[in-house]
Amino acid sequence: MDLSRLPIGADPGALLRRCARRLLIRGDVRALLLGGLHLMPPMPSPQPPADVAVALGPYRRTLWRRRTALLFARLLPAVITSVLILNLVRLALLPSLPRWACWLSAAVLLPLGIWVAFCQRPSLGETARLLDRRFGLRDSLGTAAEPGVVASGSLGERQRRQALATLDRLPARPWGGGAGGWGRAILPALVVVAVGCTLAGSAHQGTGPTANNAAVAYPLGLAHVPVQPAGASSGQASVTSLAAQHPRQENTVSPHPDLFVTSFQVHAAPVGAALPTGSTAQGAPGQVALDGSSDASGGQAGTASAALSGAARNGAGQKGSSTTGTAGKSGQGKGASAGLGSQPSRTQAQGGQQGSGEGGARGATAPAPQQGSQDGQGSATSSNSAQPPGGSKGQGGAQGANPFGQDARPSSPKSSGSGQGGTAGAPQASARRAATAPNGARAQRAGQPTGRAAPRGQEGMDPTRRGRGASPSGTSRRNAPAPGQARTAQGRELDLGGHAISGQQATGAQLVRVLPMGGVSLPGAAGSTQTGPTTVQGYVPEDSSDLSPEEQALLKVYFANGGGS
Amino acid sequence: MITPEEFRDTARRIVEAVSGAIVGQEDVIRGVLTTMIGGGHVLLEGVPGLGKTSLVRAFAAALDLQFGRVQFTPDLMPADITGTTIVSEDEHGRRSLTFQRGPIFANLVLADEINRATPKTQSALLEAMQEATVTIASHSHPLPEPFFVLATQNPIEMEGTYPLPEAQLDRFFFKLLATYPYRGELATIVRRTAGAEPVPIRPVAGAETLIAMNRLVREVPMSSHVLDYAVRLVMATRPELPESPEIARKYLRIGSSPRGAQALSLAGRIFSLLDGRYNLSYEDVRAAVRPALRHRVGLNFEAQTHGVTADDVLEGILTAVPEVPR
Repeated sequence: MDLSRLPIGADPGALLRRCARRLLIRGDVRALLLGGLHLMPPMPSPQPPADVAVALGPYRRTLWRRRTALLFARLLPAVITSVLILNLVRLALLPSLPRWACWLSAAVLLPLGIWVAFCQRPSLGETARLLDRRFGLRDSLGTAAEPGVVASGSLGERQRRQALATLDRLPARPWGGGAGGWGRAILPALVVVAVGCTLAGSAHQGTGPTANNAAVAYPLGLAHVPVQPAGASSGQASVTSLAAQHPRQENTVSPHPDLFVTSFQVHAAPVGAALPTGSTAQGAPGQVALDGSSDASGGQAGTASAALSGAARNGAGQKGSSTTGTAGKSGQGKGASAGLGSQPSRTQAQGGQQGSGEGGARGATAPAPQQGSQDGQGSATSSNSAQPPGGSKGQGGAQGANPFGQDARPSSPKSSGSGQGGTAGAPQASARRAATAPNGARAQRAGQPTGRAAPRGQEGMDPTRRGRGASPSGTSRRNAPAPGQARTAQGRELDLGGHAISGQQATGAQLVRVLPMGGVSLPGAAGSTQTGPTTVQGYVPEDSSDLSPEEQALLKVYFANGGGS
Repeated sequence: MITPEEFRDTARRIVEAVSGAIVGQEDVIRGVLTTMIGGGHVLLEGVPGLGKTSLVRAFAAALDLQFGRVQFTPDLMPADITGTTIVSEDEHGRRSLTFQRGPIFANLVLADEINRATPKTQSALLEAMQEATVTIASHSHPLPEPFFVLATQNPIEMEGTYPLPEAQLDRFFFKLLATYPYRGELATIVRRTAGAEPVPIRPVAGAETLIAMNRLVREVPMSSHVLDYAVRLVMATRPELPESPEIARKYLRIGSSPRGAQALSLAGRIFSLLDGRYNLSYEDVRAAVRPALRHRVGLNFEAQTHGVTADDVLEGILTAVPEVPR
């Protein structure tokens, strides 16, 4: 830089510092706010004489501390404000904004402040000039701090001695003890506010959405209805009794009349585990059974039963059409009383019979146990895809119940109806090819040792399984499989448990899987916290059709340890 | 070599001596003393009757200096000031060319009504004022040391006057404005002059003392930031610079020369010593701005039509240029 060509206002010694400073402080306001603490040297000042430097040292440190404190006193509100704004934006506008992004401004501004504070180190010359200005010394100290002028002659020496004598008379704290009164309380108050905001944010984070449970704030005012099929073991309410106990059950879901609740159990068995009687998937690398029960709300029993037959996500209309076996009832969509009525299982059985009757050659007319047995042996006699869902329900097949499978979601009534003919053990087995146990309680999928359980396993929730599907697994295991009953998972099994809530009209966007009320199915799994009576916590979106990674990991650990730990 | 205390004491005695003959005009007295300590020349401007000539005479008497006076008139020739070579004849009848010294060969020269002479005559002072020599017929004649030119001019009489050229003006260390006396001062003037003979002024210092004072002044420390302030003030008078203040770019035709910065520095240091300090300060520089720069800046036509004076512009520059660059 050619110093001889500097314009009037040029400041060759502090361009960098001035740039940083002007980011924060501009104009003469800075002098007012900072008490005239900033006085840049017009020219690069060399090191002053030793005695003057020693005398100016304490004042320089004081000046630097004060300057840094003032800088951070201005920076901290900016940081806090920016963090608050980002948190508000995150809460109100961008829920998907990661939490660390809210602290991005702090991460940028605080290092910047440290850098600026470092750059703002006052030189000895600047300190001397500030003291001159503070005490009206008419540049005596500033002149003495320049070695060139001191060495200019005897008058320079006299001037330096005079300046040192003046320095000795100056107070130790030339700029006072800092702000007093309210000003002194500002910084602690800001710190308290910052800590409070941080704690509040953390608390919110604890109850707020997570990556795996992104919509815990699901505004579903749905009461958890532990609907259990008739014939459930003690401690479980049957649909019949529940209907009696909750005559206005539909009211509990009235805010969401398009939803119905399905309780089910997801059982996972290790590779090669001995399966209950009737299982045709012996030796499958991963076995998962779904026992389920469902309950329709809003008077859509027919729809509910159809959904349980494997078309839960296909909406009410599809369900209705698929349940041709339930004939006019489900087709009329007025089977609520039946679905929730006194004899739901019977209604379903009738549906199955009707479905088979109407289905003609679909071969589902045989009693469910027999049909299931055949299917369970790997025969594809019933793999007719044209088999009506009603027939499948009548057979009690657990078609589509492949929690570990790939996408076991039946996309249409046909799929649900054809989901019985699969041959167990086929690597590509899907819901349509899943083996159907006689009791309809198990669908097996080969080639997926640690497959992913689809929460939409209600495909396998045949109404005929209502009697046990929602019952505790222990109870189910103790019970022998019986026709028309849900298969009971036995052996080393792990209950994933949960309840499915499905929409009837939408294509499944509302289908959720919630954890059992008041319990924890898988400690550590996403959403495995206790649920309240009116809170639905933890769900797996329908389109995920997966177990959460945590659940998968736990399953792996569980089976790796033999299923006992 | 004198000490700062002796410096102040001598200055005080000179001022007291001059004040015995001149009532009021403290700023002018202080300015003339500063100019003489700094080894410069001063241009006194004021209406007739304000004691300009008396002031110069008083200084000459108080300092015991060789005094020369030149009354500038339109027909005054340069040789009338500097001197000329004449043919002289000695006692043996031999003739030779002899240099006849003019009135400029004195320690203190009063150039009274300097603007009444033609520019050619005025220019006869250029070399003397700058180099303290007079060159005639290829021969340079040094002027006595110290050498001061104290010029006066009347600002209201424009008829038959010749404004001083910029080169001439730039050689004056200070331009001082003699103002009308206040009421009390005027009464004192009347009382003194209406009475008996004025009290003669006794010399309180000599040429050697002035030279010693000048050397002491040049030892006064001057910090870089104050020097930078003086430099920026002088640069701010240049209207062609975009960073100059608005008032300078609007009303000035030419800015100050580097002699202006030199005058600021030197005058400021004299002020500091007169004030009992040993370093140049911002205040000293500011105090020297008007007398040192008012004749070095040239007003343009717009300033003249608006009645803006050089002091107005310099006041604006002092306001616009901060001590510390932003």
